Amino acid sequence: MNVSDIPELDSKIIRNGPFTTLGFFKRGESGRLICAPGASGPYDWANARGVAGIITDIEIENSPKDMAIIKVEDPVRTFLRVHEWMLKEGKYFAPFEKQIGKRVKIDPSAKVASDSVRIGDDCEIGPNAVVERNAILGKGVNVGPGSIIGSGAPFMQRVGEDTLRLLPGGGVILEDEVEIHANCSICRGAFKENTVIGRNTRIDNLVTIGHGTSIGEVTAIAASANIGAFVEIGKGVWIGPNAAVDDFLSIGDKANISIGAAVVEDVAREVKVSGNFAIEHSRLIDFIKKMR
Amino acid sequence: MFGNIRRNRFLSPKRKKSFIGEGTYLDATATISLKGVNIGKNCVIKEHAVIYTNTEIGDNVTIMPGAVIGGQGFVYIKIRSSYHAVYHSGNVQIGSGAVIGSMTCIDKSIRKGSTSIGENTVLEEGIHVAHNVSIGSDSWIGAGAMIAGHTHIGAKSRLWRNCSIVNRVNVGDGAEVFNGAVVTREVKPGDTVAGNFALTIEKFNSWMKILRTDSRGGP
Repeated sequence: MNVSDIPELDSKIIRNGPFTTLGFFKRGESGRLICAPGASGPYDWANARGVAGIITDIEIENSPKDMAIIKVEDPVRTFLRVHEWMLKEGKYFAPFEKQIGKRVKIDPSAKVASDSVRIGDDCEIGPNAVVERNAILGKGVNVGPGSIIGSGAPFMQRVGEDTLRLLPGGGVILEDEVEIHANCSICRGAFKENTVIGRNTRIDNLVTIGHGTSIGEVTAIAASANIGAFVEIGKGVWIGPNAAVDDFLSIGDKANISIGAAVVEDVAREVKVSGNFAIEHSRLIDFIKKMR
Repeated sequence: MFGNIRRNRFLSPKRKKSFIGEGTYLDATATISLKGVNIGKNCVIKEHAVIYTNTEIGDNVTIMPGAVIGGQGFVYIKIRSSYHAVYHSGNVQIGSGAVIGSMTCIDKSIRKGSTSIGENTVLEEGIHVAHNVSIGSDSWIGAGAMIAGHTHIGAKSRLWRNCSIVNRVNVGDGAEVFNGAVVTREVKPGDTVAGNFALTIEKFNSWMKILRTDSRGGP
């Protein structure tokens, strides 16, 4: 769809162009229309990947020529209005029929949405678990008691001085052999993107995973870890118990986040980080040894 | 009055039928395994609580909504770059007068031993108690705490909110672990620890003093 398709914005469009979804500057699906108020800048437009359009209140210089530009007084509110329009028009996902595979065990007290759910063979859904709309579960997925797949909790994000609060519109994809223990909560993608959990990933009790996060294959997330929104986690990662990962970060393959770490910066591959805020494990241990 | 007592998948024919003592209130939305659960007298088991097989619960125990007792632990073996679950067949023992807060998860032991919660121990909300952990009597554990596998917590200890204890350590009797502390070593009886990773409170306070007054302090 084009930016000009959005109602009540005709006079505000400086440059027209196509877009597929909404998103943020830092990370998201390609073809996204982003909210970029001047207050949260400056932006590095040369390295903006996958940005198809901008809703802003400032003059944009050196932006790539193919970007659509909407100039309004209040970009955050306009962004919210566009999001609500997209949700209402069903631009984020098309409903599909409920499909449930063979030998699937769903506990009588579990609740699976009546449409737009696909559950593969040999899945098991425990007592009191909830599978919301637009969830796709692969083969042999195990959802523990009380876990919520596709939680529709509002997505909160600070943009400049304003706070965005919007209802998520995406979905959840759990690939084959994912195991989720008790009382976890996997939020759905915030916009068109899905929250993806890779093959053979194991998730312990009380873990929460934010909107639009993607987790690679064979990753283990230990109990009560909290992972923010739009995080990109590689393959074979270990995330320790009670760890917290901030929004929009990327964690490399085989990284190791130890117990109680508060991660606020990107973690490179095969690096072990610890502490609050997380630094390289050996540096923290040296410091702790001095203090002891 | 009786909730949904139904089979779960790890059912063994040897186990006795679940038994619920006199005067115990079991909510209709609670789920209890058909076999191997033993609940004492005058307990209260609230909404959406889930109790799996091989669980022994004493008298006067309160289990708050959404608590999951006797779930599978988080132990995996990595073979050819994929995880294979280790089946947990042990048990959980909860002493008389204990309170298990809402959304708290207590895993069962792997094979030998048991995951045990002492008498009159209070567990607040959202706590994870891993496999083979033993918690002494009269302890108090704050919301969001995480106790990893095979750890022993002594009697009358206090674990403040959101603290984490690594696996296979001892926290002595009467010890205190402060908010958000990450305990990686043994805590001696009566000691108080704080910080990530945890130091004794005197050392932690001296470091905090440096951090507050000297801009070069800290790691």
